[in-house]
Amino acid sequence: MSNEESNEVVYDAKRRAEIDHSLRHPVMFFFTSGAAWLAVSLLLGCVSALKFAFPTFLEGQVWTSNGVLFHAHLNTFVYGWGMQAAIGVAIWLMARLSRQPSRAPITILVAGHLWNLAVSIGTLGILAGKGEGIVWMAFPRAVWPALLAIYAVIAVWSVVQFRVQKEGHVYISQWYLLGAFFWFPWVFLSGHFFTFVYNGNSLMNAAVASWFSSALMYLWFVPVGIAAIYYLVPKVSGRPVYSYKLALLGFWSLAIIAPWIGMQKLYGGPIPQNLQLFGAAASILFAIPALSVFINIFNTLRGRDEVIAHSPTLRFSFAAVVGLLMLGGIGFILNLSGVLRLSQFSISSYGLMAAAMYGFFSLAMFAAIYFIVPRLTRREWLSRRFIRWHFTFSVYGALALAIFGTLLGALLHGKAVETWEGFPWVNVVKQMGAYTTAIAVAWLFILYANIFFFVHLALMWLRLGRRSAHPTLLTHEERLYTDEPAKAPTLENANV
Amino acid sequence: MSTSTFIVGLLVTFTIPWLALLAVPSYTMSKLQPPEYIEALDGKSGVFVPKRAGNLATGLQIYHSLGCAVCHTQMIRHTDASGADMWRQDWAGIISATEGDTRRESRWFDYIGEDIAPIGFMRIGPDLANLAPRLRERVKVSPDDVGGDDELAKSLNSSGQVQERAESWLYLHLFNPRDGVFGPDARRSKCDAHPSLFELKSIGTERNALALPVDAPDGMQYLPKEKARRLVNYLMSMQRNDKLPQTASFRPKQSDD
Repeated sequence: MSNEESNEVVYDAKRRAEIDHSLRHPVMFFFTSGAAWLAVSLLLGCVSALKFAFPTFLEGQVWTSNGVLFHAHLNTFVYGWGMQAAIGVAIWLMARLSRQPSRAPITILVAGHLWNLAVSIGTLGILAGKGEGIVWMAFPRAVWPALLAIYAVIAVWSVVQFRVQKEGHVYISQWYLLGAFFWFPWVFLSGHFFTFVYNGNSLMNAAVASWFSSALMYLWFVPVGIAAIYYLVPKVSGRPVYSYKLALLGFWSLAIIAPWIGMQKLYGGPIPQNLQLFGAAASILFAIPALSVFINIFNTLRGRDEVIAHSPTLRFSFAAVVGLLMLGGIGFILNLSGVLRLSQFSISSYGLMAAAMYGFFSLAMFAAIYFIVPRLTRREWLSRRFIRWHFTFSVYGALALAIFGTLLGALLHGKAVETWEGFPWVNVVKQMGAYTTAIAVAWLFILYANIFFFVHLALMWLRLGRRSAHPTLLTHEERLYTDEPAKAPTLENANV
Repeated sequence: MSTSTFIVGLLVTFTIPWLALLAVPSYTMSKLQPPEYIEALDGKSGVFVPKRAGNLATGLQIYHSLGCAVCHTQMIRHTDASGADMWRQDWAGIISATEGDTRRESRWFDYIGEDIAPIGFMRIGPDLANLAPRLRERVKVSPDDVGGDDELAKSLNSSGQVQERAESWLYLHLFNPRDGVFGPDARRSKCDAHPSLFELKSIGTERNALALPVDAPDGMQYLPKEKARRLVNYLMSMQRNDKLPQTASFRPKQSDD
């Protein structure tokens, strides 16, 4: 290695450390408070899922009724955990990829506290019976402008970095991040505006509300998850992204297809039929971006089974892209003509959301958190076992959600509802029991998995991590894995 | 890919669906006019006004805030999409001796006066688009009213008329959806019980007509609070079975599908 090159490497390492240092407080804050909300949401989700199966469990108060718990569970998952994890990962990635330390860590940190305050107020509002009762929009309607304003403060400081980057090209992850930063405010504002503010037709308000939850999922959570994976996989595996063209296809197909998804929820209802059919068609076509990301990541990692098995980040990343592929496949099946009428009002309405938000998005966020937190705290993860359990039970839970909550749930629950002749409603309820119980078990698995994550993250936050130059890898031998998995700053060499 | 192409690409790919799905339909749907009666066809003229008495605004707000729409839909789908809603017993309307077959699909004007149409999320419970006529049918007492469930009707507010008994059914459903009065299948209901919408009051001189037909401590009765009354008022407004102007009316054929 020539002197010049080694200077370059040292400079790069210094720059990365500087960036990590500048963002350590806000990003750790988003991760830890996000994880706390995940704990709240999973508890609420378990109780809610149990109440779908056993409705007399915890009965009596408004805040213990399932109608209220269900919305509190979804909204804390989306705005408490999902948004905070996504923001934490996004601002860190943006800074790293733009090679700029954050200029406003204090502002972002304060905004993060305000975000938590707003989510707390909203959640208490739901539990007090003052919520709006709309999926992903259940906070009392005074809360959403505050959330949007706080988001704007955070995003501006992140996007500004992109603009001021000195040289170099735009990475694949950056497309997705910029896309997400661009889509979120627009989706969030127009979703809430047309639902709550614009005094139009009440059905269109409802249609926009159902578009909103899809749009937020496919245009914010999905791109942020993909951005994290496109960053982490080449970085940790030491391989360039398999195909730039495929990545391009994946990104633009998402940008073109995803905004159309959502109004299939009103299939057969009295809104213009083309809106419903666009929604169904786009849900089917979402398989294209999902498949292209999967193929790209799969080929990037091909033949590196051992690295995948050993690196927590790669394990979670790989599971997440499998989850994304599954999401594409399930969306494809559930929206086919003849199936949509079964899935439309079935348990899969919830199951698909849960599978997407946990089986893809959350797994991608865990991958990123396992990578980022040691760099922020300068400590390594303490326990291989905790990570392994977190992974295993997460995957089982996500699989159960996908199988029972979406595919079986949709087809059999939907079929039962459709059998109108000689099949009284009580039979539908009886049949549903199996799937609601399965969903409850899935959430319990996921809750169990995340107990290890919460404890582990809390220890890292308390700076009790290992002081070591070697990352915590999931090797079975007692000795630490000594080979550096990625020797060079591989993303820089990547074909991007 | 340069930054400017990127931004233009994002703008174009998002603006088109934004206009096509959100802005334009929201505007055009807000300008819809209810259908009109035509003298020659309907024997009368004027604008069709859906027959919905009730406290729509606050009742719907309570319905939303309690999360009823998680498990209950309010939409009878087109038979092209799915015939099940139309033909499942009493969902789309009832077939009665006096009024004939009142079943029909949901139309946009059924949701007039609502803030955000509670189309619903999942069908854990039955559809509520035509709840009121369905309940009235169920709580009829023979021989005055033909059909219905005598046992059920008598356990409810037996002195009142069909309308009061139907409301009484709803109060009891809100209080305990698994009450034995509803029959043996009711114990399987997954619905929330909302006892907090009711209060225990002294009977005083006379038992209140709204008192729940459940066991209460001596000299006491369970009465619905204001919130429960508004909610029931809203629920009883759910009927989409009035006769439409001929131009807006069509009767789907029942197929085997």
